[in-house]
Formats: sequence, C-alpha cells, structure tokens
Amino acid sequence: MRGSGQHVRTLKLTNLEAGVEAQVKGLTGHPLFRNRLISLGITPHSQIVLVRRMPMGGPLEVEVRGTRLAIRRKDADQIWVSVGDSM
Amino acid sequence: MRIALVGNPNVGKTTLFNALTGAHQEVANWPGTTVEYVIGKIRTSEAGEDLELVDLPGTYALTAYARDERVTRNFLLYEPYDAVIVVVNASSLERNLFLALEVLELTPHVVVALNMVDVAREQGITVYADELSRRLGVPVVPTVASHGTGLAELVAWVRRIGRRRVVPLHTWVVPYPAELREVLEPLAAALAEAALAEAARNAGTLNAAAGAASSGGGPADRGAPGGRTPAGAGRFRPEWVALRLLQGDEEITREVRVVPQGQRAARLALSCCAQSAGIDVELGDEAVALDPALLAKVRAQYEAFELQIADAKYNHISRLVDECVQRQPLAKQTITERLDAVLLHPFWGYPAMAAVFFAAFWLSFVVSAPLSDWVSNGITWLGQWAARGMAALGAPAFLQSLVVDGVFAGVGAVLSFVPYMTIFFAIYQLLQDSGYMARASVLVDRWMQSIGLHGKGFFALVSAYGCNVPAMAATRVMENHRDRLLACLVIPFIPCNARLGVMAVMTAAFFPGTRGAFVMMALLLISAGVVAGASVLYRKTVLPTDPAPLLIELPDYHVPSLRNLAIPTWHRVWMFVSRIWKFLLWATLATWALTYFPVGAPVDQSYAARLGHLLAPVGQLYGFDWRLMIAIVFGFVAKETTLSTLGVLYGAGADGASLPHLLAQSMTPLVAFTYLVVYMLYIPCLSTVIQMHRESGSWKWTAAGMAVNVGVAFSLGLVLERLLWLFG
Ligand SMILES: Nc1nc2c(ncn2[C@@H]2O[C@H](COP(=O)(O)OP(=O)(O)OP(=O)(O)O)[C@@H](O)[C@H]2O)c(=O)[nH]1
Ligand SMILES: [Mg+2]
Repeated sequence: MRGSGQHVRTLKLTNLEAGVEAQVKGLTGHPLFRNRLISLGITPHSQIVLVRRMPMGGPLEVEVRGTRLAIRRKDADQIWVSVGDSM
Repeated sequence: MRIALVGNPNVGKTTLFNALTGAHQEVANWPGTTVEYVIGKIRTSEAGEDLELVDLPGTYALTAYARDERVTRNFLLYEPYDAVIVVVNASSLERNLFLALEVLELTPHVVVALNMVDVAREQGITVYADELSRRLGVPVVPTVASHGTGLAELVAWVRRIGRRRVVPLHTWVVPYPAELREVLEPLAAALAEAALAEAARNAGTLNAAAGAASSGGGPADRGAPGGRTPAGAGRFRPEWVALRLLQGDEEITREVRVVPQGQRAARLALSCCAQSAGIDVELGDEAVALDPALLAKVRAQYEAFELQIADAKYNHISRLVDECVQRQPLAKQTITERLDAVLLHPFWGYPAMAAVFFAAFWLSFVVSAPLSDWVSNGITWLGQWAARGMAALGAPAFLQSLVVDGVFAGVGAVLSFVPYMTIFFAIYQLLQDSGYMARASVLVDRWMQSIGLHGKGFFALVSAYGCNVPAMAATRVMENHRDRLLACLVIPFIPCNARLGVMAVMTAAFFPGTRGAFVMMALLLISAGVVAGASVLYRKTVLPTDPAPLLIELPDYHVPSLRNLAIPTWHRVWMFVSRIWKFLLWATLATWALTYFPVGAPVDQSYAARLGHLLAPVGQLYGFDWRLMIAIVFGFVAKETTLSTLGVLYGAGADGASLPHLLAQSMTPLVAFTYLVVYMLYIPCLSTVIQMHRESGSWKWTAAGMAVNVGVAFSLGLVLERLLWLFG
C-alpha cells in the first residue's frame, strides 16, 4: 500500500501540484455532478494526475483511468485527493 | 433486425455506422429535444435479413440523469431493438468498459466492438480480445472503424446474437461484494415475482385487446417469453431493476410500482436502504416523504449504494484489464501529448487558437464567395432565360415578373446559403472530429463563463459573424439545454456576413476614409457589448443557473476521414435546405407582391410603400424615412436583399445615380449611424428564426428571443439618436 509510514496530505484537487499522482479521497457537491464524475471514472480510490492548469483561473486538465479530462477549478474544488509526501 | 450503437463520446460509433451503412441513412429527431439519432440500413447481398442500425449520441453511463443525456438511455430502455453494439476505445478500456458493463446489466444481447486497436497498438497497448470475450461472456471483435477493419466479423456476430436467446455469463455481470449481494439478491427475487405478476396481468389485457399493437422496448425475449410486455418494469432484467432501485432511480421505481407485487418490491428496496442508513423504524413512503431529515438520510444512502456499485464495477474492470491488456511502457511522448504541449500551452495556446479559427473562417469565406456568386449568377441567368421564353410565349407581364422577381429570387435566396453552409459545416466537423474543438472550449471557458456562457459555445459565437444559422446549429455541442438556449438567444446580436456587407456599403457612403474604419469598429464593439450584456441579463433573469460543469474529455487527436466529414455535412445542409425553402419562397413571393401591386403603379405607390408610410411615424422618432423602414421590414426575409430593396426604392441606377450617393444625399451621417445600429441588432432573418425554433424546440422562446432583439435594437437606436443629437 502506498502511503504507509509516509506523511499523507489531503487537499483539494485544485491545489495539487502538476505531475504528481494522487488518490481521490472523496467527492462533494451536487448529486448530479458526482454522478457525472463517477461515470467519467473519478471515484474514491482512483489515481489522478493533474496535467496542466489553464491560465487566469481557467480549467484544469487531469488524467484519470487512462483518459484526460478538463474540469473547472470551481468543480475541482469538490474533489478531495491525497498524496504521500515521498521524497 | 434493429441494432443500437452505444459508446462513450468519440470512440468511433459514427465512423463505424458510416462504414457499415454508407449512404442509406436518415436522421430521426428525438421528440422534445434537439438531440437526434441517425438510422441506417445495412444491405446484404446474401439471403440474410437487412439490419437497421441506430447511431446514438455518446454517453458515459446509463445512469445519466441530466435531461440532455437521456436520449441513449431512453432508447435502450423503451425502444425496441434486437442487439446492442457497444463500441469501446481499446486504448482507454478502463473507462470505456464502465458503460459496457452497464449495458450488459441491462441486456445480454451485446457485441463489443473493440475499436481503435490501431491507436492502442501505437501506444504500446495490446488487448487480448478472446480473453476479454471469455470474461465478459459476449463476443468482442477488434475493429479499426476508420479503415473498415473487422466489420464483417462484427456484423456476423450481431446477426447471430440478435436472433438468439442469450444467457448472461453471470447473473450479476459484476461480482458485487457480499454486503451488496445480501441486499440485492432478495430484492431481485421480489422483482422477478413482480415481473411474473405483471406479465400475467398484461397477458390478460393483451387478450382483451387482441390485435392491438404491442409497443414494448428492448430485446424481444425479455420478460414473458414469446411476447413483448407493453409497460412496467417487467421487461427489464430483475437484477438491473434491483440495482436501479438501490440507487434511488425514481423513474424505474415508478415503473415497478404498477403492480401490487412491485409495490412490495419497491418497499423492500426502501427498507433495505433505511436499514443500511441506520434508520430503525418500519418505513412507509409517506413517512419518508414527510420527514426531511429522513429523506436526506435515505438520499445519502442511495448515493452510498451508488458509489459502492460504481466501485465494484471499476474493481471488476481493473481485474479484466489486468488479465486482458498488456502495456509496454512507451519511451517517447504520444503525438497528442506533443501537440497539446503547444495547443494547450498557457501562452501559445491562444495565438494557436486564433490561427486555427482564422484559417477556418478565412476558408469558409474565401472559398465560398465565388461559389455563391456562381450560384446567384446562375439563378439570375436562368431567370432571365425563363423570362425570355415566357415573353416569346406571350405570357402576361405580371407572370413574367412573378417568375423572375418572385420565384427565381426566392430560389436564389435559398441556394445562396448553400456554399457557405457546406464549407462551414465541413470545417466544423473537421475541428470537432480531430479533437481540437474540445481544446478550444477549454482555452476560452474562463472568459465565456464571465458572461454566463459555456466554453463549448465559443465556436458558435465566433462563427455567427459568418452566418447565424449554422452558428445556432453549432450550439448543439453543449449538453445542457439552457446553455444552448442562451447561446441561441444572443447569437442574433452578432452581425453575419450579409449584414456586415450592407453595413460596410453604408458606412463607406456616409463615413469616407479612415472614419469609416472607426465607425465599423464602433459598430462591432456595440454588438459585442450587447451580446455580453444580453447574456448576463438572461442569466440573471430567465435562465438563472450557472453554465453546466465543463467536464469534457480531451480525446486523442485524429485525422478524420473524408467520409466522416462528408456525411454529416450533407445531413446538415440538406436539413437546412429542406426546412427553409418553403418559408423563404413564400416570403420572397410576398415581398414581390407588395412591391409589384397595384399593377402599373410607381414604386412609391405600391402596397410596400403604403406599408412604409404606415411605419413612418415610428421611423420619424429616429429620423428614418419610409424607404428605410421598408428595407428593415423586407430585410427580415434575407439580409442579402437589403441593398437591392433600397436600390429599387431609391430608384438607383435609373438616372446613373448610385445607391451610396443617393443614400448620402437623403440623410445625415448621424441618422445613418443610428440606422446601422438598429439594422445590425434587430431580427437577423427568417432562416435564423426557423433555425432558432429548431434548436430551442419552442415557438415561445423563439418569439420571446425575437421580441427582445427588436426591442433592444429599437430602444438602443432611440438612446443613440438622443445622445448623438445632444452631442453631435
Ligand atoms: N485511428 C482511428 N481513428 C478512428 C477509429 N474509429 C474512429 N476514428 C476517428 O475517431 C474520431 C471520432 O469518431 P466518431 O465516429 O465521430 O466518434 P463517435 O463515437 O461517433 O463520437 P460521438 O458522436 O461524439 O459520440 C474521428 O476522427 C474518426 O475518424 C479507429 O478505429 N482508428
Ligand atoms: Mg457520433
């Protein structure tokens, strides 16, 4: 298991550093929105990588389950992820 | 035999569909929405039966609750079909198999098309189709739809599956964990019982109404053997219904409750849920409906179930992928990654986008302009030729005028749209299919959102400067009905090519030299301001929701095939022409009649002139004379005719005076500027109105939108007139 013995941080997807693999912890927000996230493969325990951020508060590009998705920052605020601080 | 094509967006359903059916297609509109599906036929040379193929919109799940995503779900639930082809993208099975499992839970009549195996191979991904087929219990056929590879085998399997009774490999398709099974199994048993009761009841009513057409959905051997059950949940697999009930699917719950046994099952589902949620009272629906706290708890539990069920599916998929997919790590970046490094670059992405769009519009204008000229010259020539023929036959003058200025002008008005439309739609399809449009939406989403619009609407808005009609059709990429409606409501404020042309001529007449450029700029800024203002106001008042979440996939880049571009382009152009021609022809005939009658009268005594004089009091507020008002009224038919109408009314050409010259003599530049603003903003043209009705699906919205257009145009004109009068 990842993270055992390491320091684990939980943060919003919006604040994840680019290129770091994280694990989805939880989803909040409107049920319809969560339903949509689930069908796109963003479920608790899935691995997610933030690929890039669009400038000026634009959407984020993430990679999850082998596909790339774009998501607004406001919506990404509803997704909590955790990363192990491995050196 | 009827076969449904289902899959995630962009996996190649339409490519497969086009490859299989060729030209034998028709577009069917789903009632009530603008989303449509296409039906096509596979002809066979052998004795085999013809296959009817239905290309459905891409979807990520069958649980999709949003109104606009329901077309596929509704088709699979309520329309008759014999088998489903689930198209999956071999290079991203982890996500694609989710939908495949959902379909398998609904019906075992499935053939999986493992598409894009070429892309997968390039990415070092090998999928063992036989192994996958064994695990899923349905045929899995590797295909490359864009090259036609694997299609024959696919069709052969479909024929075999469609006619047979198919037994699913596992009753529960997905190995759900024990704690879910404890809830699901009794529920499914109760539902099976309810289905039997329902079938018995339906058999009774069917006998009573012997010969009545049965209208059930789904594969024929579902529910009672030998017949389709016309309504109720009995036509679905009990396992699937059990899963839906646990996730609180209201629609399915309603269907289940039509028989008493079903009500018992629905209550069982509710109490299972209550129990899991830790509510330990014996619940009736009423108790839940009355107590908001309980309702919230139950809802939360439905969602917990939903997550557990999704989790079990994804876990199952992980195992399938482990067993059936081999991945070689790639050293180099994929083409998509390399392209995106530039096209989605925080800085370079924007100039790149500007370049792409500029090229797109330049092509549609520059290439279509000479074609449009040929078309209208050709029509004029034909008209003259017809007139000469009629004169030779001794036809009365009014008949000649009717044919030339009425019928041929009308046909010309319809056909002059066609070259621009064709090229526009081809380019639109190219940008869409190649995968670039999704990127562009992401790049501009932030700006668009600040005025209440959705990023996906950007291309539509920009393209409205070419022609409003296809621009409205291009709003269809947005899934949310309100986002689409809003875009359609503001598009008419954007001056199209035809309006820009008239504006350019008049500006040049009144503001020669550099001033003209500033005036044009000012006009365009006014239009942009009105678009932004109107959009914000609509959002604040009648459409009070935020734009739908932008959750879009950024697919790998593809080079689209010619066929993939040609067929949808043809569909769209044809749709336009077939819808519009009647309206435009009648409108042109009416215009002709108004200016031609009473017979022999000079223009300023025609019915048109009388109409103009009727409107003159309104015009006086602005300083417009009756001829300008007439041009506004007739401009409604098609903006292309404005200049020629004005020409006739002002008697241009008669004594060598040109229209710009005559116009410049008849009013001040300030009046002209006001006129231009009004002209730019009021109802664009009849074709736009019809397209708007088509996109919004409602005459009410169309009428309201047009009323706002006219209102804004004339009140802004009034304000401007006052302001200019004060300062000028
Ligand atoms: N390399 C490759 N490209 C393909 C294949 N099949 C389809 N494509 C391309 O993938 C793109 C999308 O294909 P479509 O057929 O429009 O996808 P769709 O599933 O109909 O998409 P939606 O209608 O949006 O749900 C097009 O550019 C196709 O040319 C394939 O097997 N291999
Ligand atoms: Mg398609």
